[in-house]
Amino acid sequence: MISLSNESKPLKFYDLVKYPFTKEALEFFKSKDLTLKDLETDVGKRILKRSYERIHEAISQRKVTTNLSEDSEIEILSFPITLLLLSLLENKSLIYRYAVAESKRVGELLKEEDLLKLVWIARHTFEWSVRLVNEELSEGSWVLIHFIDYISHIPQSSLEWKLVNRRLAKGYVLIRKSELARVIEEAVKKYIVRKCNERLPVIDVPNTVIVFIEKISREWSKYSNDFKNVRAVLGSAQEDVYPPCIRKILNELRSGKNLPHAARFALATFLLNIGMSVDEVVNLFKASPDFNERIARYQVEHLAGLRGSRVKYSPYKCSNMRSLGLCVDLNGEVCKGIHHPLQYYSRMIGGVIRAKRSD
Amino acid sequence: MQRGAIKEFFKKYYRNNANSIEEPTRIEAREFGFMLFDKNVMVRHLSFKNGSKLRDYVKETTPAHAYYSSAYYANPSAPTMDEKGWLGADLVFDIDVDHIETPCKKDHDKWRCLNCGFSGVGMSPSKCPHCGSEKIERKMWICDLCIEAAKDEALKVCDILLDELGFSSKDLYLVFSGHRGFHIHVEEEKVIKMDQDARREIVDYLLGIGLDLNTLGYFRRKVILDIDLREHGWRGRVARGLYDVLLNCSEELLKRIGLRSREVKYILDNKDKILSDIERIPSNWLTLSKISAKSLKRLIDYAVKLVACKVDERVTIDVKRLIRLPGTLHGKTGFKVLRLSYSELDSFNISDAFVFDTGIHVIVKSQDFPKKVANYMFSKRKGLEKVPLPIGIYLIGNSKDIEVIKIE
Repeated sequence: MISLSNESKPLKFYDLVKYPFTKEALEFFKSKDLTLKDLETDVGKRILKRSYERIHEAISQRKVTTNLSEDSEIEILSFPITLLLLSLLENKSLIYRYAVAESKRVGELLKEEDLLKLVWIARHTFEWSVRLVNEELSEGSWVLIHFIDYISHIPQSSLEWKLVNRRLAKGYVLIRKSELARVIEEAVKKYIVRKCNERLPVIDVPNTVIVFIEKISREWSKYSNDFKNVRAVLGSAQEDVYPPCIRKILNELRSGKNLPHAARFALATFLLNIGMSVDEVVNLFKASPDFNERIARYQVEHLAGLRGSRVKYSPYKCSNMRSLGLCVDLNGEVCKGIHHPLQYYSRMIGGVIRAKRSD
Repeated sequence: MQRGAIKEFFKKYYRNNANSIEEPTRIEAREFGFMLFDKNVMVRHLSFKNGSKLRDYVKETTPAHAYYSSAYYANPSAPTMDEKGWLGADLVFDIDVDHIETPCKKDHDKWRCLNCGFSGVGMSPSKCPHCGSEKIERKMWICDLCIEAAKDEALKVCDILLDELGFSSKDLYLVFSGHRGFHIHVEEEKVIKMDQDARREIVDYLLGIGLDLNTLGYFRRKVILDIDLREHGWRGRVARGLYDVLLNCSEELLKRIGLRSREVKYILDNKDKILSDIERIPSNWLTLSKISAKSLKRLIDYAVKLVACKVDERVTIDVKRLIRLPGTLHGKTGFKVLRLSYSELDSFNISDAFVFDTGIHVIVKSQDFPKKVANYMFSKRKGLEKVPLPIGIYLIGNSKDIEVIKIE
């Protein structure tokens, strides 16, 4: 068996096809020295087509399939080009959709690999501190991962991953091989999101690329239009589809309770994000004992992105709601699998939309 | 002498002691903010190329409060976060005696409901126990016992950072905030890039948020706790907490926790046996199996609350926060914001933060003195009292109801 201390490379060229995010795969990409002009050649068009397929599959099926029948080089090169297309599109929700799908593909393949390959990727691509518990073991064995590498890449939705529920000594967390695969999956997702959100220098984009971008853009807008008019459809019943934490804050506000800052922030940003107007939100806050219309309006406009930094704020995600003491479903009984209040909402109204369609 | 006079004392102090202001690491990447005596706004978005520029500024403006960012920025003086360009941030924990119940609070803290007038002494409730209103006026002071309680909390956090999270004592330092507690700073390379999610995980670890009883070795139906007192991490911590609860429990406490009378009696009657079983190696919890699962869960929840660290989670999660600058003075107390190494914490005493001459005395007047502030016991409840200058400045800085008659 391969001993890790020798640092012999466990990644073969074939592995790069499966794992095009690795340091080795990106070095291969760099060695090709591709320019945007090259994308107009026959090979370039094949790469672009495969990149398009990756995104198309993420949109329509929420997954990405490894294409082993494709030329290995094209398959590897299509990954960084996919990221390029997504950064040109600048659509955050599409980037997220793709990142989840692509990383899921990676996670599933990683589970089948042997431990040494995972440890190699963790160390070399992500530069994590990972130690084998026992150098001789491979299958089914455990690894120690530095707690900062661990907490920076854990799934947010379930309690079992939380550091507080892990055995931790001298800065290292003990995890199984399958868990390391999951943590790498999360790291791949974060890598994709970060890369696609990087600002590109102003570049002259060739027509061939623009054609693909427009095609993707059209496909994505078809999928994302559904939720827009749901508030009108719901009418007065709409509060039933708010997550329990938001309903509680809303009730407290109406009963005249003086809400702490974090609760006001969570409520206002939630309502603005589901499409309520600044006026409607300000009106709700009239119930607050210290209500001052001028200040309230200013603050709500700020949260809506109409002032200052022009950033539209999002509500806290569930884990932050928990830490701030605003979560009312600590055991995840009502909100199973939910990690953001808006996700709860969109899941609930997804049901509403489907019901409406079948009317 | 009121606030204006405090400024004069600060001015004189900074003229001679500006050198005790320590510039933070990578000062050029930090944002600074100051509260001035005459204006009620924060002057923000300042940056300094080096320590001497910073000290010159403090000497010149005599701020009431001085802060710097735990974050590093590409352009720290830019007006918006976008333009500042966040590069990373130190990991910071805030321990504030406000959140810790100490017996000395009844000697110096008072509260009054502004709605119904109901009032009390000691730790103030978050809402009025009489009418439920949250409009509560609080008069709060700190004394050396409060500082001891905050020190214990700080040590608890440090022990976890060192033993469980694996930091070395060189990676961290503490700061006495100049009033109600301590900040713990970790400036280790790996922590700086951590995002808010990762920092929240660390805070949740300290606070015990999200702790899952199953991972503690707690099983439904058959009540079996499979934890040893001497274990590391949360399992051992909960075991020790539970042991302490059982060791110190009274009938009243167990009832308050929510145990049934039969169970309360059982625990009190068999306390010695229960405790000695737990002390065995490995710990044996079977003697507790007479307690229902529900009650055991309540006991564990109570123990978790007891052993959890009491840090303000917002300070740790917020990676764009301003925090007090060591070596400067706190405008409400006149105490020095003092940097301490881990080994210096234990011997810290509130008087270490006094900078004004204790040989000078101030005669103060009030209708209602607290029994004790800092290390000073008052001789009377109202009227005139002659106190050392550092105490005098704390009194008038922190309360409008105390006036100065004379300095001598």
